[in-house]
Amino acid sequence: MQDRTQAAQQEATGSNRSYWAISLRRFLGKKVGVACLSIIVVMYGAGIFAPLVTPYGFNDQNLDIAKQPPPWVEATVIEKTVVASGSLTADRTKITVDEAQLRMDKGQVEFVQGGQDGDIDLGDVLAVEVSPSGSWSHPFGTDRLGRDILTRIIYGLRTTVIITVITLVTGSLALGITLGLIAGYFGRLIDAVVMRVGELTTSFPEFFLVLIFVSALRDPIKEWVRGMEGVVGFGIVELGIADYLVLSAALAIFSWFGMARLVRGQVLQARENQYVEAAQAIGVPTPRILLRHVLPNVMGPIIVLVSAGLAGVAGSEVFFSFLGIGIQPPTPSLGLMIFENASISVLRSNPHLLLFPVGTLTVLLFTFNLLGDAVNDAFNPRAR
Amino acid sequence: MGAYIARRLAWLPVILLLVSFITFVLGRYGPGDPVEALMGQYHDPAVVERIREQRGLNDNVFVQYGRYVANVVQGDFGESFKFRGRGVSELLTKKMWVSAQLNIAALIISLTLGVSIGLFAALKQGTIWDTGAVALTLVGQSVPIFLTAPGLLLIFALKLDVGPFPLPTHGWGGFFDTRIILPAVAMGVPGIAIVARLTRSSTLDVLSQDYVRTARAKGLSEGTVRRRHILRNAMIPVVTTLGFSLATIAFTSFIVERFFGIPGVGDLLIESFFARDYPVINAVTLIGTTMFVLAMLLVDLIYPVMDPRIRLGGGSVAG
Repeated sequence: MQDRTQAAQQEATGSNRSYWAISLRRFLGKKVGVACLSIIVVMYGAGIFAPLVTPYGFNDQNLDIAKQPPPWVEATVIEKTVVASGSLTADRTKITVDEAQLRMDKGQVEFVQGGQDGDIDLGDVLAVEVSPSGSWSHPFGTDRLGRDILTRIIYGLRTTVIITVITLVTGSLALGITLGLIAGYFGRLIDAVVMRVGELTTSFPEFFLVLIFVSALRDPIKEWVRGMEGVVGFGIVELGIADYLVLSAALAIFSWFGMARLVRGQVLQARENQYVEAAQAIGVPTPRILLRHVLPNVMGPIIVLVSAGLAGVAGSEVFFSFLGIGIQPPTPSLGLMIFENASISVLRSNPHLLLFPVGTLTVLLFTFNLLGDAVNDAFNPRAR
Repeated sequence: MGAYIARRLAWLPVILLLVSFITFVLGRYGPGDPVEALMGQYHDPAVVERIREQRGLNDNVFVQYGRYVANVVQGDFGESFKFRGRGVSELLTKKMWVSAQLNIAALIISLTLGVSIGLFAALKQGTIWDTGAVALTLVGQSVPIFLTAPGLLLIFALKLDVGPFPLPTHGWGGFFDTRIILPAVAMGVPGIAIVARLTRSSTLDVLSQDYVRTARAKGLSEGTVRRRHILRNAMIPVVTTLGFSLATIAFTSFIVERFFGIPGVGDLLIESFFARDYPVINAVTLIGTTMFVLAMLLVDLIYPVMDPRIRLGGGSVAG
């Protein structure tokens, strides 16, 4: 409370403060915004430093502990009668001698009835552990190949980080801002061309364009990356770089227009200001006018648009990976993890396989959305 | 009005030709040669060459494209690479109909529930009902389909399957089967939220208008005022903004189909993608784009019906 009144006083008195200081202060005053930002920093940090955060590799398999649930789930134990042979899948109350012996060696059975000499005989009733209990060495459990799910989620977040950053930097920031600045400042033919092309790309459903783009260009780009491998000198194909490139290029191509339109509109306004005219009059070169005098006045709305676009890009990556168009196995992605386990039978038998990736995705998208709102309130000049 | 529709319709083939050309060229010259795929691992180059000549694959690309378009116009999208000897049209027709039914059901749910919730919240403005409805729509709008679908499955398949509401969670039985309810609701959640929010805000706008006060003042019954003066005017912004949002939601049917085991386009598309089955991918793209553009046109044409004040084509606005 103390802080808030102080901040309000400073905001009221400090009329000479810069736009950035005011915006930042307004943002830091919002608990929801700061909380969201911290969550995102933690998630992105975990993704970026994935090899340091987790002791496992995303592809480390251990079939002995496959489908292990999270630690707070108890082992499921069923009583079974030992029979010579029988269809185990049809009748869950029977177990063959061989299977019982195998489970005994692993320590997964206990005698309920019979077995006085410690040996397994026909007719004995055993308490058989049909699904293992969890352990804290795998907090989110393991998947069907015994890979640590938390590790795979963290590496999946790394994919999200890479895709969102590349897409927003190349698409929205580089392409969108440049084209918007040029179109708005020069007007006329350039403006018309940029705006018509942009309108054309947005009048189609993005999904189909990405589909076609990816299906046609994945293999050539993969070949190109393979060629680059000789230049770089180490195996970059295994890192899944080709997938990242293809998907973020596709998303960037169809996402620059919103930014370009916004920047163009802002530039049209800023161009009328006298300081721009003054700069022109004393002979400042055009690129310098654009970057030093026009762009800083447009930064607020740009930040708002970028933060609002984060959820969309992250969601698209998951959506396309789910459909098999985006990230390809074995590169981990939340979308792939959800796709592999998207069925009612998994929900029945091993819900943790599906629920942890889904939960992570939900938290990610919600925080992105809330962050976007908070940034909009703080940085959008119109929202004051 | 007529001229406007004519102009919009004239654009349609241009857009479609553009899309079909891009898809055709990328599909034709992209990876995976169709003839070699057909012949398998061991093939005689002479035979391959003969088949290419027979099927006209050595012709100029524009000639090939022209042939493709001529076939497509007659409803022939070629033959699937993956399912040998089966036409793409034959494969797609059934699955597209399934997906279309699912989308229609989701649309109906979005509209009916969304409009009711929005109206209800607006008419109870300021009460706890209003706050609750607004909070629900905020959550509904940003909850991903990846959570809604397994969430509904968890609730209805694992918790309520022996309870008072045993709703089936898997499979497909057509539009009038109970198995459509859960997937349609899962798809409809974001739509409900969007429609409810739009309806609420536009209803609040309308409520403060003079003509509503006049209508009440001249003694119309509250029901008539709501139906004829409030609802009709409040729906205009809803319809205008609706088209695009709902078209985007349509793509979630691919995800829902997977979760609920529905034999729609989604699974076929995923399979085709893995198999590089370009005829199928191209056909889905073309049909999808056509429907998308047509839906946008339809929405444009609905405005003047809903609001006689709107004149399309830049004519003067009368009173």
